This record gives sequence, C-alpha cells and structure tokens, in this order.
Amino acid sequence: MTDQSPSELVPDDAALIARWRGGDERAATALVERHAQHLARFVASLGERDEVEEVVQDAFVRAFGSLDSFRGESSFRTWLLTIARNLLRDRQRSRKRARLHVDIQDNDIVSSSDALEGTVAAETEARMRNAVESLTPMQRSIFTLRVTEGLSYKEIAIAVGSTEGAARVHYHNAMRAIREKIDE
Amino acid sequence: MSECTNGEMRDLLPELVSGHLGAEMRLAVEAHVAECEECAEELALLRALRPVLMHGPVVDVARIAAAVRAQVPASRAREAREVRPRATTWRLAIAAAALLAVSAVGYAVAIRNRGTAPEVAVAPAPRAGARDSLDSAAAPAHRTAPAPAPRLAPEATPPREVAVAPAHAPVQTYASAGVLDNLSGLSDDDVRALTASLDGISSVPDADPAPDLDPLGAMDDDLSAGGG
Repeated sequence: MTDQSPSELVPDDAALIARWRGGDERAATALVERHAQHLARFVASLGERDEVEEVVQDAFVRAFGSLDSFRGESSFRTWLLTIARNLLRDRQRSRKRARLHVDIQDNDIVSSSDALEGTVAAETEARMRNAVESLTPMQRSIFTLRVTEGLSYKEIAIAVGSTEGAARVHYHNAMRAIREKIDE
Repeated sequence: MSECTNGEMRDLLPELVSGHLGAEMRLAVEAHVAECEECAEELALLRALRPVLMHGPVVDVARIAAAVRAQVPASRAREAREVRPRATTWRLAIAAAALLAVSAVGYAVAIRNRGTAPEVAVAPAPRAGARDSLDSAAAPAHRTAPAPAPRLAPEATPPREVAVAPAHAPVQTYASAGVLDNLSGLSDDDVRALTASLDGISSVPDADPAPDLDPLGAMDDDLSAGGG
C-alpha cells in the first residue's frame, strides 16, 4: 500500500489543468464533473431555462479552448462562471434581436413543483421557491452564489461583472425581498 | 427581536451555511448566533433556502465532458505548448537579425568616414551664404567654440555632389555625434575584417545621407517604436 497525500487523492483544479495541458483527457472529464452542476445552477439563476446544458457545455469548451489566458487570478470556478455569464448575455442579446426573447421572470419552476404540494413542508418549500423566483436575475444569481457556493463578494463581483459593493447590496436586497415574500 | 450589531458575524452566515468557514471562524460565528436572535432567525432561513437554491437543472455531465474532449482535445493543448516556444524563438531570431543588419549599416557608414573625415564641432554649421558674416568681426555671440570652420561645398555644386563624399573629402561625420565611441575597443585588424565583410553587403548605401538628416536618430525611434 502506498502513502498518498489528500491532494494526490483529490487533485485540485490547478493540478487537473496541468494534467490536461500535458495531454491527459481524463483531467477534463474530472473538471467537468466537478463544476458542471454548479455552473448549471448559476446559469439557471440568471434566468436561463431552456438551454442550460448548452450554455454549460459552451462555457467548458470555451474555457478549455482558451485555458492559456487563464492566469489563476480567480478560481477556475469563478472563471467558468464569468464565461458562462458572458455566453448567456450574448445569447440573450441574440434572442432579443430575433424577437424570441423569453421572459426570464416566468414561473416554470414554481409550476413544476406542483406535485410536491399537499404537505406543509412542500408548501413551505414552494413559498421559498416562489420567493427566490421573485428576485431579479442579478439578485438571484448573487444570492445563489453566496448561499450555495459560499463565494466572497469579491469573487461574485468577478463572476457577474459587477463591483464588490454592488454585490453586497444585491445580496442584502435579495434577503429582504425573500423575507417580505415569505411573510405575505 | 433585537437587531444584530455585529455586521461582520452576520456577513459570514452564508459561509456558515455553505460550509466554507474554517473551524475557528465557524465556532466564532456559531457562538455569536447563539446569542443573537436576529442572526439565529436569518441562519434558519438560509438553511431552509439552501436546498431550494441547490435544486437546479440536472445536466448530462458525461455528454458535456465528451463534447469538451471532442472539441478541445488535450493533445491540442500539448501541441500548442510545444509549438509556441519555437514561434517565440523565430520571432526573437528575426528581431536579432534585424538589429544586426541595422548595426551593420551604421558601422559601415561610420567606418567609411573614419579615416578620411575630420571631426566637426557640433556647433551649428553656417550656411555657405553666411560665410562672410561669420568671418567678420561682428560674429554672432553664440559662436563660442573655436572649432575649425567646416569645409563647405561650393554654392554651385549640385546636390548629389554634396551628398556623395569623395574619397578624401572632409565631410561631417557621425563621429561628431559620438557614434564611433563604441568602436574604440576594436583593434585595427578587427576594423579591417569588419570593413571587408561589410563591403560585400549590397544593402550598404553607396552614398552618405544628406547632411541635414539624422538616420541614426530615426533608427532609434523605429526600434523603440517596434517594442524591441
């Protein structure tokens, strides 16, 4: 039995990136497996409904295609979030131009949880989901990144293309809005 | 409900919920929450909201990974890294060759004039038409250096004859601007060898530049503008 440090057992992003640069295809798979679901959640929080997987895939393809420009000033995940946000913005602009813009304030998720209704817990969850969905896309994405990913305001600002102060304000406004919605 | 007065601790509640706090800080925040009613209520809300926020669209990770491997194979990254240093080396080699060529032209021009042309004072060269006035007792006040008067081309000389220096014609040289300072370390043999090699270069100009030009200065500008 060989001794292995924890970092060898679970390589960090930098190690996986180095392996991929060295020609190890499995490193790309590991990075996708590690970040894809987080990225999907972020994309959905920004209002995307129909093409989440396509955006996530494009973000990964673009990230790996331009990995040389990744300087490591932010985490790999934050960099992915930034790429996904830019892709989504481009897609939304294209939709507007094509007059196919989908209202990002729809209530698809609320209606999809109808099956859960009937129990108190489900009703509580539905109210919370409804409260989250009532947020603006910016509030929702920042709130989600803060509570699910534990990102700092600085990292969030990089990911959403805003400032640290603005991210903090959006978070607190989101929290207040959620409280008000739940108390209705 | 009493309002929280510790904004720093309250700010860390999301990190506590998401499990991104270190052990020491986690204990500190939990101790604060135990005493702060507002933070306790907010923490409970965040804990209830987190599953809702975590519930997102499920993507096919395997399909995405396959697409990435197909569109951006790792071998391409490795090849790019192997090719890049060669490209950089070529660029450096081209830049060095250009620099050498520029230096060769400068040396050739300077060395051709070295043994034949007397150095001329840097003082402004008088124009031919002003010669009489310069020699007169009412010379300009700025004429302070007792430099030998430069030999001037006759007024009737065509412009080409002014530019092309005869073998022994004393013309103004770049030595006057300190160009030849860096040649002082060369031995006579070195200079002869260099001259012989430069004579074979066809790109060396046959004529000196016109006296009112400063090709070396312009060259410096080009080099600096080129970013080295």
